[in-house]
Amino acid sequence: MKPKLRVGTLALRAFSVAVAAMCIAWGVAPGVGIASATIAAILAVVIGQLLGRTRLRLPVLLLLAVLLGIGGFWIAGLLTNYEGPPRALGTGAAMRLAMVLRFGAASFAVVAALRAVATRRPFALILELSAIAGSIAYVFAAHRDGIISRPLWLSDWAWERGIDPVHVFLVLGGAAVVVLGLLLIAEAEERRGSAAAVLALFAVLGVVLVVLIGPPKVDVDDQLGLTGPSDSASASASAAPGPPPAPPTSANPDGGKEDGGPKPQNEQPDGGPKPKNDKPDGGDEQPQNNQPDGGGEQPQKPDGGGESQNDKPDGGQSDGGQSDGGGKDDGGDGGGTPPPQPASEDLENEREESQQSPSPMAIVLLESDYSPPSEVYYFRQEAWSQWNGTKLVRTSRADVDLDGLDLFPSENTPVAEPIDIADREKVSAKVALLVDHTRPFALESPIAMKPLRNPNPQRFVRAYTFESHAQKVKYKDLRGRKVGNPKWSPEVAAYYLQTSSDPRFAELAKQIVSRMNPKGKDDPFLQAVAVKLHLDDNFKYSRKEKHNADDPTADFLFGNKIGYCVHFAHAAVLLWRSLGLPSRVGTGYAIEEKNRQGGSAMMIRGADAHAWPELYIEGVGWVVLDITPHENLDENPPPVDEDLQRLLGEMARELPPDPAQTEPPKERPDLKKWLRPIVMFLLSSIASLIGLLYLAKIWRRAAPLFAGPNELPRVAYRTSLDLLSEAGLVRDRGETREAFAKRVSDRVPTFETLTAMHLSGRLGTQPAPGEPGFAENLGERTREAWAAKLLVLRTELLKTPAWRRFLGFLNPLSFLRSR
Amino acid sequence: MVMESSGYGGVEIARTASAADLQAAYGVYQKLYQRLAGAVRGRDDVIDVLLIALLSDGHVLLEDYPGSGKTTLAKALGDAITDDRPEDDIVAFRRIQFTPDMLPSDVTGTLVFDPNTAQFSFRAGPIFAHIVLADEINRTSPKVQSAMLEAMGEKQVTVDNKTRRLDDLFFVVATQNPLDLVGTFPLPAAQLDRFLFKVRMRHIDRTSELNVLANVRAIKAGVGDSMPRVTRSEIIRARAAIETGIFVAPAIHECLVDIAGATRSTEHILQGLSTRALVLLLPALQARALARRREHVIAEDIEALAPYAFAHRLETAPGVDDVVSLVRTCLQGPMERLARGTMRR
Repeated sequence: MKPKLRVGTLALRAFSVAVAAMCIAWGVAPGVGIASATIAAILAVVIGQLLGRTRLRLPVLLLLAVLLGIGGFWIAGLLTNYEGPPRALGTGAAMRLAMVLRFGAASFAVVAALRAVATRRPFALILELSAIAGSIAYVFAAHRDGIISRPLWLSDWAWERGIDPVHVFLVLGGAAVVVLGLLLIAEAEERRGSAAAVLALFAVLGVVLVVLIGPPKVDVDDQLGLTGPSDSASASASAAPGPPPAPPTSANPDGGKEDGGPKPQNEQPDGGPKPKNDKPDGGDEQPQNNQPDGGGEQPQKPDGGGESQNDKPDGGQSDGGQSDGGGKDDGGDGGGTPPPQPASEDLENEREESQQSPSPMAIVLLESDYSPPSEVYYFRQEAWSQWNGTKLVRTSRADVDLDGLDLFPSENTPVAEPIDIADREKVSAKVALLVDHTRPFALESPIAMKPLRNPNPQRFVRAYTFESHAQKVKYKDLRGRKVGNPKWSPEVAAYYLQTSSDPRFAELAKQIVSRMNPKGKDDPFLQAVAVKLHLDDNFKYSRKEKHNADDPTADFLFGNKIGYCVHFAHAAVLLWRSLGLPSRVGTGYAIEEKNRQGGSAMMIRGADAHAWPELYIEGVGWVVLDITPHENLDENPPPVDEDLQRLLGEMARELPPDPAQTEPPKERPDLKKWLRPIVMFLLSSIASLIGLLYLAKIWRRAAPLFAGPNELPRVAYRTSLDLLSEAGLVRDRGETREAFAKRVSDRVPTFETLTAMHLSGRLGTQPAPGEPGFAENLGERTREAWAAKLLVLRTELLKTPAWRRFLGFLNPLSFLRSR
Repeated sequence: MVMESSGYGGVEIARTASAADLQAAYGVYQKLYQRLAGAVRGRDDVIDVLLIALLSDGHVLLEDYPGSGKTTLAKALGDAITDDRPEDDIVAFRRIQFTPDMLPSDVTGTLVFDPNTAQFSFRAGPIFAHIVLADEINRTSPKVQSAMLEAMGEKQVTVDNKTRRLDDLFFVVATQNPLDLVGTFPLPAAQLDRFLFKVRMRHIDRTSELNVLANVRAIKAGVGDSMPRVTRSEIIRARAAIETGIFVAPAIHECLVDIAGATRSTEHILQGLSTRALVLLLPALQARALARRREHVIAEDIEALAPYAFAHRLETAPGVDDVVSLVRTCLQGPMERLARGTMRR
């Protein structure tokens, strides 16, 4: 027997299958592919349904579907693999046609096969429905854990309209559930109405929950899942290439894992006499990998200081009169007074383990299309130029390295001494920080910085803009220029030439120069390049090499020749300085231009922290000449997540409402605002409906007391039906009253009599009073007789379990089931 | 042409049945029931249906296997009725065993030449009886079958262009074997339509069968005179009382029409119920109400009799075997409407 072809169900199914096909195709196909897959899916539903109703055998149907799929792919292959079709159609058209064929055939074959099987075998419905549900869920699977960036096409759309994507996802998920539920119900012929009612009830419940409790909130501390677990610590690892705290596995062998052990050992040379008794304790006690306040430097200080035999107190934890090098508080004003001190810790330990984290730290939005000659954007946060005998640190002088800002700007703040040279390109950009930094960074040679209202306080911690004079001159055009700035005082000029007392540096530098082509031997820039090339060629990059020696740079340069960017930068600067080239180490972030992917947004990740050597060329200013060792012993960091970069860019671009503006901000459709009255209305109408139902129930129960004799067979019998319904005894559809009475007669024998009385009243004739009827005597038909019978019925019903009776008594809908 | 009888077979009856008439009719039913139940064990449902047909002036087709007691049943019925009009030469019970070589005159009777009077005189056939057992009715040729058809439909036979009236209590119990179909002439639909009920008898249950074996001798001896018989006139009077005394509510009429509509609109049935089927069923419903001591027809009567009354009148689509469950399906909607109707104002 063929079931009726239901057009409504078919349309609903075609729609949901089309959506599912679109969801699947969206990620892998261009527009024509998506359209083809969708249309093919709709056709396949109809054709599969019709084929399923024919007398063709199921294996034949499946074979047809498979053949069709293979055929589509084969023809698509013909179109692209041979010369003829592309020549006749044009290459683009042939490719598109092949695409349409492939996606169409695949989608059609799968959907039609599933549909045809489902028309024959009910269990295949489950396959079909789960295929639909799975493909829709697949698209939104990335959305789990509150990551609202996926799928991009949807969340972008929502963001652009000022809607929280969470709401969109909730609505879509709800709609999908309802549609699939309806499809399932449509298959079950019976009880369709009640199932739909249950579904509607669930939908209303869901809406009520969303309105009263709200959509699932993402924990702000969670960084929306954008950043890794170690970020809250690295966030405050502010200074310079802030080394995120070490995960325990890669911690220093003698690192601060144990409180007691390493500390005395480390601090003996310098820590002991210093008045920093309280701080180191705190620093050590905290586990190294989630330092909440100290930043990345502090936990590493104890061991770092100890190993390097640093004669200076550790900057980060200084107290009293010592200026804090890496600290956040007094970096700016303390510059002049204190004795020379390391701005940060030993170069050995600065960035070990630090650059692993691929999690985003900030997003930079370029406002002009600037392309650096080195193809790398250097965002300098700090410059290290002062030689402290072991390494280069932040300057303690007030008259050098004035081309940066130590504090975040609170208003438009010009840089103290910008490199203001016409030969540079003015570049401005917005920066939005995902994690806090102690000082701002900007593209090399900034001019000014300005605070910006946080575009999205939930996601970003701070935002500002900077304006920089970025390098425009090509490297080859730097030949033949002088180094240094003629405006510098001799003191300053000498300051930029401070170098190690170790004679090996000068020797090596001379050796390198001596190997140079004699033509360029005297050109300072070419000398610098020669040093760079020497380092490029002969040294290997590895973050794992620590060089915990007294003179880490010498250890690196004349030791195993393996190190990371800080070592390279130090080596280059010390060699350059010994050649008389004024130079310094710049630290911050280096982003390769290709990461931009042509967009204006650049995501800065923890792994992008970098240190590089810079030298001063007359008329050009500080020029970054980075060392790029050919051999890298480490794994490359993971590639940039383009989607995330784009999403963060969009978020940073969005301007927050300006409270100062008189114009009212654009109204965001607030779900709560208009849903609340609806829900209140729904709730109150449900409450009043229940009240009405109870009233009706009570009336039906009491009606026999008021009914006339002609109405008694109906009204009193109705009461008995209600009583039975409360006890769970309900007449089946199509069952006669007599059969029902017979069915329940062993529980309520009186009901048979009541039914007979009712039927004789409704289908029979009224017996003439006084005359003995032929029929079985049912007794008097007075109100009292009915009431007595009902009473007997009630006592018979007492045998039902108490909970059943109680539930039936409470149930306002019980009388709707009595019929 | 002289009609041999008029009205209710010459029996005086009241125009409107009183309670006493109904009581008498009920008594007829009870007496017959007791006699038949004594003669045939384990067939109470068939006896009930048979008596309802008898009281509502319909014929019954029994479909069962040899040795299932159908002849015994019919004979017991004939034995239970006494002929209170011996002047006509109509006997209480006759059995016709149908064979393929039969002629219509073997059933209806024929004209015989009397040399004494040198005239043809009519010799009545076996059909002139109150109760006729037409055994294996599908074994005979269509010619004979159609002679039976006229007799059953019109209660008359025509021999030598002369129409002769059959008895008012003419009641046919026909049988056919549902399996052994070789050399048979299946009854056409028009012929089947003459039967009020077609009863498919199932094998009796174990206890009843044991009961039969235990009481073989008693059953063989027959009920005899141990139980009261009923007269032909009593039955005819009971028929009239039922027809006028049992109330059929308009809701029941509506329900019957709904059922017919349902059978006509189902795609599994090629030809639905005829109006005649409904008309024939009405007295049967009334008779059943009487048998249950009711003065009115209720849904239960329809539900109980519909399979017997409708199953053989429906022409089903190919592939549909279970006509009875199909009839039950068609009953569902109308029954629900009827049940709800009784609660309507």
